[in-house]
Amino acid sequence: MKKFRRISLSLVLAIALLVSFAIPVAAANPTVSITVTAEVVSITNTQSSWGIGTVAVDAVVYFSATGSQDDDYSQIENTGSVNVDVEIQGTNIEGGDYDWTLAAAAGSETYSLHSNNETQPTTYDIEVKSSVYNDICTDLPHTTSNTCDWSMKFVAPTAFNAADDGAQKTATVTLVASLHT
Amino acid sequence: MKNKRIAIIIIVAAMVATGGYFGLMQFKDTTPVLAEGWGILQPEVEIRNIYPGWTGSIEFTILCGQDYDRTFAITLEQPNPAKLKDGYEPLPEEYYGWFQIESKSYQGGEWEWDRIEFDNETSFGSGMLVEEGHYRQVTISLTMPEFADYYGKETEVRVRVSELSTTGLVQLAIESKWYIITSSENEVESS
Repeated sequence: MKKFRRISLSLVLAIALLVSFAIPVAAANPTVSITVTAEVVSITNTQSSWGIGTVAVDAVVYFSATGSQDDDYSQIENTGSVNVDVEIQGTNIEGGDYDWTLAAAAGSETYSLHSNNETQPTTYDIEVKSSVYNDICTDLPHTTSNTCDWSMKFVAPTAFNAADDGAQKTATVTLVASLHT
Repeated sequence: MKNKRIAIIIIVAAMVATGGYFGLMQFKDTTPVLAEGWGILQPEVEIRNIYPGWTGSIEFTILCGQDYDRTFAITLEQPNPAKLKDGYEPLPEEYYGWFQIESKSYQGGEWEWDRIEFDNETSFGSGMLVEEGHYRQVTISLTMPEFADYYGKETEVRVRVSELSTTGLVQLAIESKWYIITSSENEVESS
């Protein structure tokens, strides 16, 4: 009787072991974690309009009320709760029969746009690009000294097609703010 | 008995004072208010360890200042290569279809929902109106498809909010940095 019990017990254990291998255990997925920074990123900019007017080849026009150089014509203010970086991005100029391509230096049907900022107020050597952006204000505080003056310098193409004489053309410059990390 | 009545009155008064509604337990809206300009409330999001088949969402808030109504657009953008987080790579544009947006706005005294789907490119169509002094909540969902073969990646993508209502040459945009980290193939297989 004792032997029978021992055999039964062994059989039960063996079956339990087999079953535990045979029944797949429901897989637990990896644990996903989500972290959200809850802060306000907000900026304002004082000047948005720029009617450059009629330009001749090689013309140099500044972002200002008169077209002359005004190094602190526009002002970005950090109105949020954290420090921010502000980048600048441009586009080609469209309109008329021929678009003008934005590039580092003016050329035929090609114009250039550069900006300044408070650390380089007069040199206008921040290239405004259409693809990769460049910083215009870095680590702009949200408490004191939370403003950043800036302007731009436009250089017209060295040559453009006469078919575009009198044509109206437009472009966009975008200031992109993000959390400074 | 009188003491009980006074106690109840005090509790109700305290709940009203803190912005709560007795029974419903809805509390005062603490969303920041901007006097002017506009902003976003979630400038950085990290979603770690996603795996094929996972889906989740984030509440994303666009704030409109008290100066005037504005319209906005949301796009996904590649991060500036010079500013990528160390060890991270840009989320390939072919995966932008993992994102979906539902937006909720309070207009004319009622909450309204819109569903906006990203295509595999970088943008979606319509602008979203946010009235002055209000905010708009946008639910951004992320779904890693069941058979996506994109394991063990640390990626970055920018959720850009652009203001469409400004006329003139200079436009403003604000980007939220999203870090999306996928599980390794081993983690998924062993789990």
